[in-house]
Amino acid sequence: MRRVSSATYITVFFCIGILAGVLNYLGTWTASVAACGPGPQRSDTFLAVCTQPNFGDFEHAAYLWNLEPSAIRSLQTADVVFLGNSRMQFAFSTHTVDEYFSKNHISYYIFGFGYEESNEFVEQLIRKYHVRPKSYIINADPFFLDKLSDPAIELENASYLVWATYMFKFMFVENQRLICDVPWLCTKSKQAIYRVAANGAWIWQDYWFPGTLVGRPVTGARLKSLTEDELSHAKAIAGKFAARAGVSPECIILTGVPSLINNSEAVAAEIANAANLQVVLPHVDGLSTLDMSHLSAESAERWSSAFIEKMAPVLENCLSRH
Amino acid sequence: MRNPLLLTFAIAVNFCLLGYFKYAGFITVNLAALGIPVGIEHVALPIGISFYTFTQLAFLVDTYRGDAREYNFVHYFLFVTYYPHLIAGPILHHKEMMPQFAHPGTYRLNPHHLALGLSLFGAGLFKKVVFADNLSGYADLVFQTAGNGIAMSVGQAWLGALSYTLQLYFDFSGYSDMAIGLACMMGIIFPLNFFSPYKATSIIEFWRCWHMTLSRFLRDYVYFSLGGNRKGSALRYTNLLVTMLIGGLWHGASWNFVFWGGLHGIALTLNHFWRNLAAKLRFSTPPIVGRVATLLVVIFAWVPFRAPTLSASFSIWRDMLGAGAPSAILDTSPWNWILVIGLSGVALFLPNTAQMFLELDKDRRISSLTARRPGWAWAAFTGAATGIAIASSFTHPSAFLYFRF
Repeated sequence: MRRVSSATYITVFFCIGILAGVLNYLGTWTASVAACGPGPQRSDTFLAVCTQPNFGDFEHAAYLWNLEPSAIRSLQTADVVFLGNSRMQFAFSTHTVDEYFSKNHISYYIFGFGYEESNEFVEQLIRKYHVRPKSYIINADPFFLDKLSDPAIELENASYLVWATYMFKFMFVENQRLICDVPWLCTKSKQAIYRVAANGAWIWQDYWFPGTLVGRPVTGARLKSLTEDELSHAKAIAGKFAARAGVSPECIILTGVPSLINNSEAVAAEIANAANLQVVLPHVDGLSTLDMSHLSAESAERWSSAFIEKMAPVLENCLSRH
Repeated sequence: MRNPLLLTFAIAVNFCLLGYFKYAGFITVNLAALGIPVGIEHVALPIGISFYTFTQLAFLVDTYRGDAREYNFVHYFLFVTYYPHLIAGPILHHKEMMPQFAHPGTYRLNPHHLALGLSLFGAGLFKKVVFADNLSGYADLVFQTAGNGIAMSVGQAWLGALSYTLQLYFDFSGYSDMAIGLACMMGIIFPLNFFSPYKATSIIEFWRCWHMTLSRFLRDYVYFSLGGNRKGSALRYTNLLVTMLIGGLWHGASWNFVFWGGLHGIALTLNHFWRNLAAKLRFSTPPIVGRVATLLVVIFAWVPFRAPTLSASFSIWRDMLGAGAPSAILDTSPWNWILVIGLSGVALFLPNTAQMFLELDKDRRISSLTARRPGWAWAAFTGAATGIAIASSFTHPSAFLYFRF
């Protein structure tokens, strides 16, 4: 073997070492997060959340850092914006909701986040992107907490390492279809949620839970209840939100998506009453949750249908004023 | 220093520190079992205490014997605290280290030492992160299952024992390679600690190739101090057994380690007995038979070394011999077998790191750091191995097995 100088040896060692290290890291990382795919066969969606530990949450960064510009454009032009947590996303990401708004030529955006995200993060985005809808529909179960979820906190103080991690995720999301064309790579073995860029709806059926899963009926006692202090705090925050939302109080509609977690209907009614906002609380029997928290697909369709029916006159009244 | 009282005092101080930090909990538990309560709670073990205690003991004994030649405090302090070996060896000896510290050339950066050291370090890191850590999952699963009192199939028990046998070798020899490489970068020659131990054709040879610096220490400072082989066969075998029991206890405060040391002591005794008998009968064991027998003894002996309790060890042995009633549902994929077979090939048939990179004398000591000058292909190969290992350690960080000793 040809001998080389020590300087050449060390240079080759480090160059090849860095290259091999980067390729290895990217390769193993990509192979691990490939368990989140393949996703839906439509080009207007992106991977929002996946339980693969190397991936986790992406949607917070996608909106905060404008990594999905078409989603931000749709948000900015929406007439109606839904706000809330993951229970709101499950409840309103339905055919019924889409059909109603399409038929009435009203643009809408379902702008909720997982991890029990509350108003603070969303309000930051509303300010940042100058979101000016004509109406807000809010799942107040509770939503008005002035708290940040863990992913939001991570992004607030993002180090270079956090930033680099999200850039890896971004590259994966952008090239997911290409990557998943490699045979046997994308195993779909981890729970995932995809998001429609045009209206913010979550696609979870058969990605997070089977679409046919029924789960537990929404009956009996709830796991948590708000204390008097928490409720009065929520009322105060709701009042401030209404004051700076740029939307008249008649156009801010509160609701409470049923679940076994808390008594969302009562919370929504009390906050709406205190802040002088609209409230729509459809009564639907026989609902069930997938995991005590999120409505099953069938229940979400029925509940959102009942909601639309009760909400439509309120919304039409609101939109007619603009 | 030829004062025996002073020597006894100095040794006692070292042993007291080691005894308190490493064995206080063990002694407390055993005294409590005998109905003697002692109020010592768990004591955190200072990293590497077993290694630097032995290093200091050797210096003290050699000073007493008149074998130590240098007493420069700065060099002594550097020798005891020399960081590349502190956590998991090799166990350094003042005779081979202090003259190097006294040599002015040691303190000048040598690019060739740096290049060679990087390659050795990279090879060791690769063995640890890519080989050993990928074996740990199944080994942990099997020993945990046995610890929970659940029986396994013959295949599962063997796969677990083999996985641990290979994991320990690649983990510990990987660390030793990294330590040798680090020292090499700074122009210091460390003693070898491994030389393909699983290729040994006898238990005697195994201990000349496995944790070589510990074997050397036990031989020079325990076995010889007990009398070695000077007072007849019976005492020789007793001394061997006692030495190995102490060697076992050195690994940790647990009866499992004592048992493991005892097993090796018995195996060494039988090996010496057989060797003497075979010499008298003019019979030589075929190397392949010796190799297989040695490997089987070593594999079986690693079981109590790793198992959480002695009863778990017996349970795994029973399962390895097919005498259990398997009820465990373990996720055993063909990949586990492929990995074990592939890495067995590396351990049993490929040259070791020292053979690849270093120039050795007939006593398996590194004779020079400049005799071998590997080419660019080695630079690329070891550079890639290092990069892959570092990247893998980001996603799956893990500790070295010998840290706890």
